[in-house]
Amino acid sequence: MNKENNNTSSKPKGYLTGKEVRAIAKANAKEIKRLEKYKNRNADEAEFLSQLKNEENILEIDNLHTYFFTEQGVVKAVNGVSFDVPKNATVGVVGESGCGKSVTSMSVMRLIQGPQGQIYSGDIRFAALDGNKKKVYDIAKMPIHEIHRIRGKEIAMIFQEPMTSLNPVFTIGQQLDEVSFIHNPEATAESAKAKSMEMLNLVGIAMPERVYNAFPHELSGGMRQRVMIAMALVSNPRLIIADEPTTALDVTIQAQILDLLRDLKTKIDGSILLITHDLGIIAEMADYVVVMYAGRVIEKGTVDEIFHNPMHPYTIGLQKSKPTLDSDSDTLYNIPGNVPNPINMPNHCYFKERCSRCTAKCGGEYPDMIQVSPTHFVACHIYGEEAKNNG
Amino acid sequence: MDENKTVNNIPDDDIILEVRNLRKSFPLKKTITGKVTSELVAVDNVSFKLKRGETLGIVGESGCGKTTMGRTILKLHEPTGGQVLFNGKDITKLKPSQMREIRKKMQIIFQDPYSSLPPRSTVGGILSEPVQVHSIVPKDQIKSYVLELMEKCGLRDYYYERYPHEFSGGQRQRICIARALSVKPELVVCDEPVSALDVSIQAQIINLLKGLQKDLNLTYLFISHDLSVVKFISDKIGVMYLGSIVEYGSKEDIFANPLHPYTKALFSAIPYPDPDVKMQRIVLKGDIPSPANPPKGCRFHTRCPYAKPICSEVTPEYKEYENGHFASCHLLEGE
Repeated sequence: MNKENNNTSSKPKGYLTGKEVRAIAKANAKEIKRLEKYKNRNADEAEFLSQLKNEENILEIDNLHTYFFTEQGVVKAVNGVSFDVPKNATVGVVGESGCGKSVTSMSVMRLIQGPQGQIYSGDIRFAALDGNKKKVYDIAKMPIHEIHRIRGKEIAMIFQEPMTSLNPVFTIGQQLDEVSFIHNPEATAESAKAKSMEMLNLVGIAMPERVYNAFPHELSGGMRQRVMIAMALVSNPRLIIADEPTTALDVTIQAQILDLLRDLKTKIDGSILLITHDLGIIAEMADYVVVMYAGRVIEKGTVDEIFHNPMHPYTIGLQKSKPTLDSDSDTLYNIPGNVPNPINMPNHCYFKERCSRCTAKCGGEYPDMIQVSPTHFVACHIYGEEAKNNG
Repeated sequence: MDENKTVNNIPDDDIILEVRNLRKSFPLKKTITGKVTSELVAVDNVSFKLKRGETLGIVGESGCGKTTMGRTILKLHEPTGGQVLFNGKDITKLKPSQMREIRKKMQIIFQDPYSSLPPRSTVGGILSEPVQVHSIVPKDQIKSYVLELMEKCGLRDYYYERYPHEFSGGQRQRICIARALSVKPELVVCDEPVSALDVSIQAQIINLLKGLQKDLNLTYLFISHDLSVVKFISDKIGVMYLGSIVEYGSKEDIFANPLHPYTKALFSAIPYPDPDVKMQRIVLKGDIPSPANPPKGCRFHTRCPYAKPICSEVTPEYKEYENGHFASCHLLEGE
């Protein structure tokens, strides 16, 4: 709220002069052209092969920047995000709407809507299995036509809206079989169907034969989400990205789907990148937690560290502002103000305006990630001095 | 109020809203003569009383009829049966012209702040229109009244000239709240006012609603699917399943001692934000049955983990089991 107040004093908020608009359009066109060319180039495999920093990881995101070039200016939706997904682990990404958590997952899948949306810079290293040989691809540098080696095959995605993610004019069976046909050149109609039925069984659908022949509109929300999960599993992926898998579902159905996802992780021997805004789901499902705010990671650590020893004022505020069933206080803690406007982000800490523990230093540069424990990192100035003193 | 005397029941100043056997059904199929052959009963036989200044929280899953109930009480849907007594007066039989006076006293805050504000009028216009229509204050005082109201709802005065698209979800919801309060209502139906908002904004809006209730002595009918929010704001809680209230009682009773198996399952299904707490979860099988074709007997028996043979045949009675704590379940009757 403070920010809006400042803006109104000089010129109405959100209005640009014609000159400014033209300058932005020109700069955008130039950048988009360069990035599109890079995206569509022909490149040897050697160009996008890479090395993992730690062999125990399956996915390493390193200083990822994903920008949207809009008419009002550049929206830095993901602005220097780094985190790892270890093998056989569930990593939860949590944050409010507009914090860039979905854009991060879309970047990993290379599903960012172009030409406005582009991966600007950064690395996304993924350990893929090509046959039996392990190859590390840098997804951010892959030409877009090579991405099918990974997308849908090695990394599968479960989308938020089961209602709109299925094609209404094909049966569930046709949509499931298609995955086999695309990613497995030896698939026959029989083998594809067998695989699809196996997956429908795996996700706990009671009458797989009937669902196989049904159209999406005949199924309820929970069933559709199960079908989406089955579809993600058909190609035996090693990483599943679940983007708010239960947000559109009721609590009792949500409980069913979360149980299913937990079972699946052990069954498929893979990792899950779980994106949600619900801290309860994170506490229950995740091994590692990444907290995002306005396009940046502000805190990351194991689930115990984040919930028992949250350090960033935003993480603390987020946990306090959620009413729980056993809270008895009369008013809820609330973080004042709103998420800042994503265009023209300030150079200082983005949380400064809403923070109750601001120091003089917060007006300075954006804080670096400070390591608190081997797994716990936080980006906040108030811990900077302590960490230095401790060594 | 003097209208109270015209009604046959004993007027009770404390009870602002009483709902008796409220029923709302939507026709699905009609014969050529217009006779309804199949119908969807969205709200079935709902009764409760709401005291002035209290908050009744209604929880339930999507499709259980909670929104329809809220709207039927306000007569945004014409009720099919039953009575709604507002300040002791039955409003179900009133003509539209008579309803107009009552509408001032009962307002609604909708779920989606993005689609419930007119995009072409300014905040000032949105807030002064109801004041003008219902002549709440003299014409020359409208602007100062609206500005005062905006301040109460946490809106800055220079927002007066702005349009809804310039605001974030939380601010828009504040505008919606201000609009509802502009006619000085006594009862406000809050239809999922925070479910479209982020957690940190949710807390702001909930605190605002609670503060306004205290200041203006408002009565809320708070509809939500989020149990933790409902628990926070409510005094009484009603749990709905497939169109009827399966359990009703004070917040303390319901949370300390849930009687109905559906309530228990609902409570256990909420993820708890602490990794050390491992919930003993009752996972319900299957989906909510279609309200167009509800199961016979107890409507919950298809998903109930404790269902007995009687549950699929006889509809359980809605009875008071503890003081002020109602439920409808066969399992309780045996005890």
